[in-house]
Amino acid sequence: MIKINLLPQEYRKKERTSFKVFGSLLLSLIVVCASFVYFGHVYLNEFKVIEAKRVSKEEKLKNLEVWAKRDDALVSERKEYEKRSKTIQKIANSRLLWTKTLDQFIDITFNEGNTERHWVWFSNLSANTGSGRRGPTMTLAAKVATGQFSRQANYLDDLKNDKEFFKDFLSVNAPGGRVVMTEKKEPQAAISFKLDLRMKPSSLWAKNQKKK
Amino acid sequence: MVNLSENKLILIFALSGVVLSGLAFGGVYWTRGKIDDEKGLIENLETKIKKASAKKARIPKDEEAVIVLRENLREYVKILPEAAELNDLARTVTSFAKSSGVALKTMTPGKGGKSKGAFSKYTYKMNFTGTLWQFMKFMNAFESYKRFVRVTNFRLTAGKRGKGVLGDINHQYSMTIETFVYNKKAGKKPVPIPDYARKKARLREKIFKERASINIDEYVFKGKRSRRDIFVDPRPDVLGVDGEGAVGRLPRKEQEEILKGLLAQVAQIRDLKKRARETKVVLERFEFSRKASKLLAKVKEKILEIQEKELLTDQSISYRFQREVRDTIEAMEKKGEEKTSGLRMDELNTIRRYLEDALIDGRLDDAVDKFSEVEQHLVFPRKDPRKGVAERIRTLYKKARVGQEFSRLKLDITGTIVLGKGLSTAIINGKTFQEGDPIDADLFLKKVGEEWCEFLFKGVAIRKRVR
Repeated sequence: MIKINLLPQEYRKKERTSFKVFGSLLLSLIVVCASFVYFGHVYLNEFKVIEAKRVSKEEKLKNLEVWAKRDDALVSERKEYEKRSKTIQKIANSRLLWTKTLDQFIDITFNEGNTERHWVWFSNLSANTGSGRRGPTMTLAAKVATGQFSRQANYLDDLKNDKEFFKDFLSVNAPGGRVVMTEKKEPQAAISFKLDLRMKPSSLWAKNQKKK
Repeated sequence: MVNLSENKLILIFALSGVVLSGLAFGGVYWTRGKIDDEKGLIENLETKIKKASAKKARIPKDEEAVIVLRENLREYVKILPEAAELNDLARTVTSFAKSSGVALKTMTPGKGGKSKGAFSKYTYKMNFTGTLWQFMKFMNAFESYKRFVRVTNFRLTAGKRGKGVLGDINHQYSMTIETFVYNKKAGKKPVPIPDYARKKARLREKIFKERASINIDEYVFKGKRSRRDIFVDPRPDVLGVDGEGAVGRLPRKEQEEILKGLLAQVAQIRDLKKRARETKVVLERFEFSRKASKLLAKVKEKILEIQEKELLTDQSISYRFQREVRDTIEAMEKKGEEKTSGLRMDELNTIRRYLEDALIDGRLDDAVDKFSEVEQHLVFPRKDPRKGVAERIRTLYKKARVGQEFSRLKLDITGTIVLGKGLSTAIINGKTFQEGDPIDADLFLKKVGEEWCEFLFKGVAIRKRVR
């Protein structure tokens, strides 16, 4: 339907912004303003504060990192020095005093001059310190006077039963060998055998056990 | 302007409001996202800060640990040779060889040495000859060296006794030694620790406490100690030492007799020494000591003879001889040398009085004998008060010696003419001499009495009666 206003201009109702329009405009404005106020609050009050907090933490961390790096360097140095100390301790503790071992070995073999129990001598000796899990070894070409194997057994017993000498040893080979004769000597018979002495690895030596 | 209807306007406003509000809420959403990110960052930072703070708090403790380790490592590595010292190792080996008596044939450096790590290993292989005891001494020199050296392996090949060769036999050896050099500059630069010296001083106890964990074992090789060389066939030759006949080896019974005799003499020396210690009479003490010394010298001669001729070949007899005779005599001698530090003052005065009395009584031989007994006990430092008395004893001894010499001179005094004024005269060996006249070289007539003449012989005034 079409409405036609036939009234002259002066009699016509004055044209005004409609209440609805105004209301909607106002409402829109309020909503928009409130939204932006909220945004402003979130951005400036919450975000900026938290950002400032982050920056401050970063600053704090930056300061602390100098100390942390220093501590890292100290820890790294400590580890390196501990490693070096352990290495040198290992070097020192793994040294076998061959003079002592050989001296004790001579004592047992010599047996204070008593030749009744055993009378042993050697024609060569090969000794090795070993490495890692393999302990030192002593290999000797031995002879025991008279053809009695009991004397060889006596000697091997004496080696094993000497607590001071044998404490770091692992094994000694079983008795056995062959009887050899030397006409120019007295007694002529002797048992020729290989003496194989094996020691424990250095970590298991008595002196190193005490330290643990 | 375009006339818009009310509804359109409302729509426009509403849409504009929605769009703008949407933008604002979009911004809020974006900001919330940023806030969450920041929170995440902060959380992360806080973790890092916590860790960093913990590290910062640990610094003093870690510094302490580093100081303790640094100082101890500095001590530990002292056992290792310095790089520069390696050049001296050759000299050290030579001196060890010289002092032990082994004959060094070769010394070859092994591989290794250059290492980027903290420790560089150096090895040397040696070939040499010597007796078992020389080898042990040589090896022990390395094992008790001030710097850490270890013998990693060795091989001994027993030597053979040459025809007619007595004594210890030389064997052949090959030995490898190993040492390490500490490379201070290896790894990172040490962290600078402020106020290091003060902190180190504060931690001194802790440093020492933790240092105890490293110890380099040492062993002192005490030599042959009467033992036989286990790398020599100990069985005696059926045909004797030379292998040319039944010579050189005494029957066991005879060897036992020799040992028995020596043991008896050793017991006698012991008894004399005991009596010398226990007696309170000083002169008796010297008498016992003199007898013991004489017997000791005799036994020593016998020991040398036995050793040179290898008379005691039986192992058990030889062992007893070395332990109970030779070692005992050596110990006695050593003890004797230690005791010759000097006599006490009262003992010195007793000797002095004895010599004075002997000189007055004309017992010149007694005086000389007594002096020879105590001579070795008369050495004193310059400031020792006993030195004066000792000097007096020496003077008395010199006088006794001069007296002995004088008594051997042929001086026959047959008469004297004593003048109150002027020089008196004496008839000696048929000639007349006035006071002050020389009779012989070192001999002057000093004074003449009615029944005596006083001579000056080698600076000593001696009076002799007229026949």
